[in-house]
Amino acid sequence: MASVLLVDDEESFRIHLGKALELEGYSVFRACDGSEALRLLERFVPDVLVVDWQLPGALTGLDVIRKVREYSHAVAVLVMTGYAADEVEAAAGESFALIEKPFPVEEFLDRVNASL
Amino acid sequence: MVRTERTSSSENQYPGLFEEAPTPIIVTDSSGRILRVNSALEKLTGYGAEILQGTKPPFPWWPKRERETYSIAFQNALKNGARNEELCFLHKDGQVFWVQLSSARIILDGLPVYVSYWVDITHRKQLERSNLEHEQRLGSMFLHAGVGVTCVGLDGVIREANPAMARMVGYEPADLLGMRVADISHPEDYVIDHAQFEELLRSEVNSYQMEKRYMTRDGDIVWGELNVSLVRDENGKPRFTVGVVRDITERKRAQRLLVESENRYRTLVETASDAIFVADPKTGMMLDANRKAEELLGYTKSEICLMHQSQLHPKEQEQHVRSSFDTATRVQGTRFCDVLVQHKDGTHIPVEISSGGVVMAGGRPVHFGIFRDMRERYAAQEALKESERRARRMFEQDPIPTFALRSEGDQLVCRAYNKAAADSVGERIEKLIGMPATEFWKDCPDMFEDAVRCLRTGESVRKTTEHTTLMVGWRGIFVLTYGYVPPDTVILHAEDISAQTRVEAALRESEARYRELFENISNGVVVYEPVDDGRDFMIKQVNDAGCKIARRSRQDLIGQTVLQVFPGVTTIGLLDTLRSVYRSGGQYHLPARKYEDENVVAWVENDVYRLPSGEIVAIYNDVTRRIEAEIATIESERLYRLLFDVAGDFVFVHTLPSPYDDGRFVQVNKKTQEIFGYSREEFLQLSLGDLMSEPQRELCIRERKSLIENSAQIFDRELLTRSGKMIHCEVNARIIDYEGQTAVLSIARDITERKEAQANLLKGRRILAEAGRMAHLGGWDFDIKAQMFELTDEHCRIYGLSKSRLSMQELFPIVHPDDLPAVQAAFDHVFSGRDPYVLEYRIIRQTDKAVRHIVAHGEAVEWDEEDKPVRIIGAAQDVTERKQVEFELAKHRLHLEELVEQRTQELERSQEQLRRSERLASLGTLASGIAHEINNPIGGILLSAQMVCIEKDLSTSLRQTIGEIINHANRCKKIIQNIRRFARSEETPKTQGELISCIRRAIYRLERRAAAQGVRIQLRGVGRYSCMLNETGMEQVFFNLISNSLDAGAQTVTVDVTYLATRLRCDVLDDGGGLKEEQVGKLFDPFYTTRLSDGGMGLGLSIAHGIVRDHGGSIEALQSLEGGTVIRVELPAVGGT
Repeated sequence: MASVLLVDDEESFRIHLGKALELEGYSVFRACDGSEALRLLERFVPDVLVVDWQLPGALTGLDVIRKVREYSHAVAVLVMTGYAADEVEAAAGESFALIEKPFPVEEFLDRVNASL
Repeated sequence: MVRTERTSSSENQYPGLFEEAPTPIIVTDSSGRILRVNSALEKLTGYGAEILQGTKPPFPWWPKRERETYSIAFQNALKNGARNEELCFLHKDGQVFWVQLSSARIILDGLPVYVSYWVDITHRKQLERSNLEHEQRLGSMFLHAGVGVTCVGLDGVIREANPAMARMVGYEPADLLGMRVADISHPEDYVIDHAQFEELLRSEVNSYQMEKRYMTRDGDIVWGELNVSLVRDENGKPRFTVGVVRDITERKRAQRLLVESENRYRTLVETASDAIFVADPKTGMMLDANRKAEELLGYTKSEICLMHQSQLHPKEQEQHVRSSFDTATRVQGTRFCDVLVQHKDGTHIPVEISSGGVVMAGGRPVHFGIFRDMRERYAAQEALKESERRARRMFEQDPIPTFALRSEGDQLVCRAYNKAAADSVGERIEKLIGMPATEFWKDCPDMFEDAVRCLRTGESVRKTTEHTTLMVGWRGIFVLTYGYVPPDTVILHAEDISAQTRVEAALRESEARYRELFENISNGVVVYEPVDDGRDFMIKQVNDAGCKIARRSRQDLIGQTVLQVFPGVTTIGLLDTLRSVYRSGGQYHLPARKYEDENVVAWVENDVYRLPSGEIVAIYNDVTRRIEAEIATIESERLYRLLFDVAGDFVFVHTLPSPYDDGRFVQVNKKTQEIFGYSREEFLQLSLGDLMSEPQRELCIRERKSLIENSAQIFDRELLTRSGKMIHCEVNARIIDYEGQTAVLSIARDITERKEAQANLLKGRRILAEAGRMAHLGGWDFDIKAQMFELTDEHCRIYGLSKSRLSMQELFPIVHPDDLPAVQAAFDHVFSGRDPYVLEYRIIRQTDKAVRHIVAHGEAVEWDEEDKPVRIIGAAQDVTERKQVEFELAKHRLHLEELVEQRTQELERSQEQLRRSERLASLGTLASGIAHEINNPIGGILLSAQMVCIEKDLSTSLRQTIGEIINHANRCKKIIQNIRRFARSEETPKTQGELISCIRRAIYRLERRAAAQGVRIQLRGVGRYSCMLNETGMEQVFFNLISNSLDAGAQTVTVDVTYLATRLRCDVLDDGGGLKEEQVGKLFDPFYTTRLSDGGMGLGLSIAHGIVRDHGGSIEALQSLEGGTVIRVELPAVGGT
């Protein structure tokens, strides 16, 4: 049973994507911002990190990703973004799976499944 | 009666008539004296007229004993006349004779006389007399008859009834007279009787018969056979009836008994449970069959009666049954078994037949067969056998050792045992057969008693015994069951439960242990039972710790659902976990979550798993204190970590390097991880040596020494990153005590750049040389002391030299002789001072002796103590081509004016474009911002809609609606992508497509709105022209253009597509308000709108402009001739049809 840490400030994304992932058989942990995500990460390292690029507060999606990388390079990372993918990639200087918002649930699940 | 007849002289006229009349006549006077008699009278009486004349009464023919009565009658007759008086007279000789006398008074010769006429009726009277005698005889018969006789008038009144009749109905004969027939008749029969009687009166027939019931005086019923005759008078007129009644009560009773008996027998036959057939023994034809027979064969009785006895049976038995039938007719009471009959539906039914013959009244012999349906009995027999076999098998295969004990005399003897028994007891069991129970049970008389009791009462006995010797030394704990099997056997099941008992005891013990564990464990344990198909969970059991953590009493929890008592479980995900465990059966650890409801606020950790029984167990722990402590630690630790991590230098701690260990990393900061590309975990597996190249490793040991001596030291080190990149570090190392062991804290600064700068200097030369080659720029270096030139390869190539090192004397001859003085002067100049020189001169290229134009630079770069140059470097460039171009240029100078004019125009246009682009760029920034902001909510819409779709019980219409939401959200997504691409002036992907279909789609999308405004949209010049298109974008262009026209109040919008060899022109014409002069320039500006009041964004045409530009096309606004607006879009065409 793979675990997913889902970080997004949009509640509807947390609820619906979480539900979709759970239906797919993942155990899902949700965080609404970077600091909550980091607190969770200190307690466990998920198999997949799904994170929104732009998070409210001091910590961005990239911070969360770097934190995860600190713990393990084995964690698959899927970044969701309202920006164009290349903009994000250019800004990040790191490579990870990217999905542009808005997206259909199936595509999202495909990407998560493919990341494992 | 007096008759006065007037005759005139009758005597005179008819003397002969009187005298000769055959009828005796006598004439008297009023006193009765005889006046005259005729001869007939004389003859009848025997007295002569002479004697009689004058005689007065009494007359001599009057019998003496009648004289008085006759004289009175005579006097009476004189007075009144007489008529037909019958009188008895005596002849003179004493003979009696009878006359019928009539008299009349007549006037004769004026005097009244009386004439009497006699008619001799003697003969009749004699006849009458004999009749009377006959009648008397009849009367006697009537009186003494044995049958009842009645004489009944037409009015139904009994006139006569003889004693027999009276006896029959219990009356005196006299009583009956005057009674009515109805009075003695049974009312039901009287009706029939009366009807027959009426019929009698009407018809010619004179009699009828019937059997009828009479009612006696006492109310009893007697049966009579009535024979009624009608008596008519001479004229045929009915007078009365005579009824003769025979008492048939006895006969009737016998008859009734017979009928009853017949009925009884018939019912017996009909309702017999066996089929009964009656056949003619001679012909074998069926005569009768009962209801059961009908059932047996499926034919009706009438159908059976048409059959031959052999037809009752299947064809193959025909011969057999024919001969059997013959035998049966000869022998009384024969019985046949195993005979089959054939049912109408073709099935064969086994029967047993008993047959016999009887002789019917009338002497006709019949043969009967009683067929018994044997199916059930056969089935029962079969079932019996089967059950016996089964019992036998069960006995044999019973996994429980079983023994059969038979009562023989006053003993119980073991007669059989099953396989299980043999297996359990072993070889000794053979001794058991035939052994009396008292012998093998001598130690346990109670078993013997139980067995005997079972045998006696027929009830089974069950008991558990411990450590009993059961048959030949077999010990254990047994459950013994004695079962009675008629007539004389006891079956003993001996189930050895020793092992089971041990297991049970162990189980109980273990259960108790677990219970204790459950109750005393410090973790909360809750057992849930899934309810509502696993959507909710009812608390079935909870331990003390569980109650404590939940801060509820056990009563509050048990029987409640998790949602009722722990509403917060949804938030912490426990409910989801329970559900998922219920579904999948897996085991879940739910890490610490903050659980909150109105009773409890606590951090809880849950482990959830499913029991095989389907119940869900949640083990949870209140970890609030731990978590809070952890949070505190984390906070403080974070502070240090931050310091450690934010350091711009590489900070790491490793063990002191030793010969066995190159300094294992125990801590590294973030920067180190980032730059070296290893995660913290990976670092902890590495040692310092791993980051060094092989030769460098040796340094470690050396450093160790110096570290131990100095405790702090600065090293210069080359470390390798994961990707193999070398980083030069200046390492400030210091020995520290890290978690109780000696370690080295190193703060390393990346000095790669510094090192690289040095390296780059060297590299620079290489680069210069390379650059020189590319730019046809030769470089040289003149060492004044050595008087030697060092030339770059390119320089050699330019001069056509084969070697790069040569003296001044070797170089100068190459210079064009005309220019040599200038070159020498330049050199002298540079030798003397610090000024560089630039010189243009010609050379003769050594390879092909061609004259080349060279531009050379020279400059002193190093000086000695006396400030004299010791080194000069310079460059030489071959400018021959440029010289040529300059020459050409000069030739074209004349055209320059023209060119400037042209360029100015171009510039103006491009400036216009630039202005527009700037505006668009501002839009771009805005759009990009909007796009990101809008993407999130659209993503939410899309996601929510899709998740709703996952719900199963969604109506079709709702599903469609949600489908539309999804479609629209997807369209928004595309539009945003387009805006963004447009804003970033990026090329969109294009495919070859038909412009016309984009236009059609745009029109289709606007049709409804147009219809609502009463606007007609038409498409003209339709052809299938292909372009390289971004279809979504192009659809958007026409959507925007047509939409603008609709907003401008047009009545008709026409899209006109024309094919112009290389381009496709699409004009969107409308008959709206047209454009004002100042509008034309701003039309494509972002946010330029004339419709601010109604919410126009002013982006439509800008977007269209961007998209068309992206397609390499153009868009412009024109005034139409009719006063409306034309937006002209031109796109490069690929081809058309």
